[in-house]
Amino acid sequence: MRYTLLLQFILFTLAATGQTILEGDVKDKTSEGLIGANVYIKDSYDGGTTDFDGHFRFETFETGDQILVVSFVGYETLELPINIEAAGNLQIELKESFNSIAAVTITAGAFEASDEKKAVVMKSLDIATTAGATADITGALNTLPGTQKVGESGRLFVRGGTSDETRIYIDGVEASNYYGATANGVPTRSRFSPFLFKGTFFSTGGYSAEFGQALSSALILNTNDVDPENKIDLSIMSVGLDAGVTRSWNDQSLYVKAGYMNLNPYNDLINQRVNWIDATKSWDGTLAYKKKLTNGGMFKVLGMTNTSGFHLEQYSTLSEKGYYDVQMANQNSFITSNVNLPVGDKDSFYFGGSASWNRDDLTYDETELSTPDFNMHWKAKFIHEFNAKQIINTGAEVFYTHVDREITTATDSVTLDYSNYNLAAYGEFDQYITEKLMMRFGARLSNQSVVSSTTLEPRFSMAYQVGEFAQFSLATGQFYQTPKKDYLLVTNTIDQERAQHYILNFQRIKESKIFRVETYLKDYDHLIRFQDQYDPTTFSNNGEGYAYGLDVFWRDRGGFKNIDYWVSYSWLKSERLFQDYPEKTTPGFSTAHNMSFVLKKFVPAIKSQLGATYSVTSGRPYENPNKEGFNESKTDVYQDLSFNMAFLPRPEVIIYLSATNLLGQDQVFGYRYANTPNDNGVIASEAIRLPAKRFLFIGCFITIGAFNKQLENL
Amino acid sequence: MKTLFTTIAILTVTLGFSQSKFESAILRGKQMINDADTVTAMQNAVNYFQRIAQKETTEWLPWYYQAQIICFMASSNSDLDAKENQLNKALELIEAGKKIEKNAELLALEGFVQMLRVSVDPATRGQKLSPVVFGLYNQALAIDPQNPRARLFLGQFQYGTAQFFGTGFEEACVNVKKAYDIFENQPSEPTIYPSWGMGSARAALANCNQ
Repeated sequence: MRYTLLLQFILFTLAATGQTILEGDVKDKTSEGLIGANVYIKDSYDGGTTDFDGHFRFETFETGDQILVVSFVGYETLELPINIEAAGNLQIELKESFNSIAAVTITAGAFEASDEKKAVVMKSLDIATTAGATADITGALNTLPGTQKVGESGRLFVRGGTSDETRIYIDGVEASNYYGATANGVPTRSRFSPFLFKGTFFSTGGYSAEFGQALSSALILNTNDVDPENKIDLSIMSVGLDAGVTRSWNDQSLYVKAGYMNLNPYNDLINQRVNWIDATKSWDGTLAYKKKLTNGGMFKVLGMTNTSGFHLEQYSTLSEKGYYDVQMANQNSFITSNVNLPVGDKDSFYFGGSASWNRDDLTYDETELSTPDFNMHWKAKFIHEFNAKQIINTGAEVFYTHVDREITTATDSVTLDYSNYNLAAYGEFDQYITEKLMMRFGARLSNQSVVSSTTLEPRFSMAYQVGEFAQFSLATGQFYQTPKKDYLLVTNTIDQERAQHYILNFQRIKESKIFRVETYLKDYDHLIRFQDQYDPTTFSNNGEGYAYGLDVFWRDRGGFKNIDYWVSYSWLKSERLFQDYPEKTTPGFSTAHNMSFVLKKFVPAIKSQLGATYSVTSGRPYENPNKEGFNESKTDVYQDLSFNMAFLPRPEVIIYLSATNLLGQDQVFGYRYANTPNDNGVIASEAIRLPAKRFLFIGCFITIGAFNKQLENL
Repeated sequence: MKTLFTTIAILTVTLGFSQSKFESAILRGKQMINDADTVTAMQNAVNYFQRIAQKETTEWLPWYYQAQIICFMASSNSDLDAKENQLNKALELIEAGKKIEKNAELLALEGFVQMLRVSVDPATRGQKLSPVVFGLYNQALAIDPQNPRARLFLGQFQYGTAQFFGTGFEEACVNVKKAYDIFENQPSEPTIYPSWGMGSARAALANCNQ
């Protein structure tokens, strides 16, 4: 009896180790065999790989009811219940999976700079290495189509819009006072170094419902993730010094930087058109902390503080004493923090906030203008993936703004202020029909307390892929914006301004070559008009305008060895009736033709990257009071040829050299006129130019740490 | 009584067999990697380790070997887009392995993948990814200073950097030599743990000795 039991046990064990052969075919929906698919019994090692005909055959020790798994890249994994003994010849068809990474993306109006994604126009490094941009984010973006060069400003002007019509966000929250303080005629720069960011998303229109309060454009900057290494960065520049320390430990990093700039030595060397009593001097400090959370989330803090000032005499024949005395002092602090929290595979939360304090004290001859202001933005958002093809992004936010103005003249003094709460909520739904076709429906509800106005802004965009490399996309939507600070200080009986965008885009990216063409129409209404900027009774929302045009972009990275170049061309037609314009006409910041040619070439023999940018812009309209009509005159064509060079003598050293306006063109941006005619009955004028014909920059950037740290391990 | 002993003996054999099943499967897989000379054979080996990974959910080795083979496939792929996809896949697999155990081998392999990613687009990636690569090797060596692969890759990356900038190879070669010595003193009996890299170390050392 015992022996029988033992025998049974042994037999059972043997039966359990007995082998069965499973075979069959794996095919796609067109009955084409799939090569290299993995076919196996779940929770066992037993399985095989399909051959050139999609055929598989393997032995298994498993018995009875099991689950057969068939997996193949690009296809949905199939789990098939089978009975090993009764399986027979298995015929399996796999369904192509939906791959959101390979799926079409909306490119209408959007330029992206990123190192992570493939289908982007720029790499992050491009922003820092574009000649003529002198490592300024806005400068680099100004070489893309859809932007108009307004050289004396240094700001972004997009498709016939003013610079106020672009809003700038860092990690999802607003970066108020993005531009450094400056005075008339001295171009500004971004306060933020391009090296703080891993990606830039620049929308020239038709942007997502997640963003609002910008009639033309949104610039979205995403900061770097956790720094991988401890290091020290030193910058010795013709304009100042900079030192930064990065400490990296346990999935977190801390970066602290301090900088001092003083343009006095530079201005003494290079001929200036203004008399600098004291050139731009500034102190700045930056702090960035990042932590990768254990659940895959990310926490970030970025803080910056900055104090700067200058004093100059601007020569002018229009002034009785022969010059205007201009003095500026600025104090600015900015802090932003945000956390991204994924919950499971399908949901993620985001909370972010930013606060910005800014105070400019400007003295213009006898007039003193003091502008302390405070901005705060809080935002919460939630993203839910119903499935790979349906994603909803929804959120709510509040902006608070408080603005003060103290204006003191020789005879008078005025104090003005206002506060505004902007509450907004948005929802946006992405629906992929296939990998090649997607639609995005969005809407934004927004309330502005200062002008007591509530708006509902619908947005829609879609993308359709044609062939393997090309796609069409379109975007449309309504965009509202509260009138600018200067007007709100005077009156609050005005309403929001509005623009409607229509954009059609074609893009083809194949290997290193990118071609884009985009056409658009932007319809403005409810624009602010006034007869007297300081008389509230003359204000109305009766203004209107339009802009339409064509943008073309071509880039080839590496088609020729070590050469990377891009060409942008924009044609724009725009007219407006706004501000104190007596008639509808093309404003002074709108130019019909803008072209940029950017070239970068790496020369291994001298370990250097050389760059050149050539820009040409057709004449800008300006108002000449000596002539009939309004904005009837045009400046000469603007041209600029800039050059830069980055020389890498050692892994830890970069020597950087750049120069603008190599051709020495007399760049005139417009004219200033006297208030009254002279003895000959002519109203005298003078050209608006930059403070210097050229800008030269030399810097040496040293990184200690990443490359030397291995010494510790020897 | 005898029967009981026999039963226990059988059970022990059976259990013993199942205990070493993972190890023998890994050893067999390593042999598949060594023998794989075609893309098909490599894909076959990837699938093989994928099957082990889905069964042994607490083992990092099957993830490591999948990533390693995909790296080999990527390094000889001339289609840059496909190469990029493969390297991203390898990173995903390494990430899955790191969730089980964050160790020197996985970090060294991650550095190796990032090094290959630099080679896809050196002009734009070199500056940004170089610190990442160095960081990963240094992290690996901080955990295990005797890891020959981390040491070798570090030496190779330093060599490439020195070559580009025309600076000296001393530092790079010190690391290569050190890696070679560790490889030489490796026990010769088969192990389920990674043991590849001796050939590259020999080649790198030959370069240093030129």
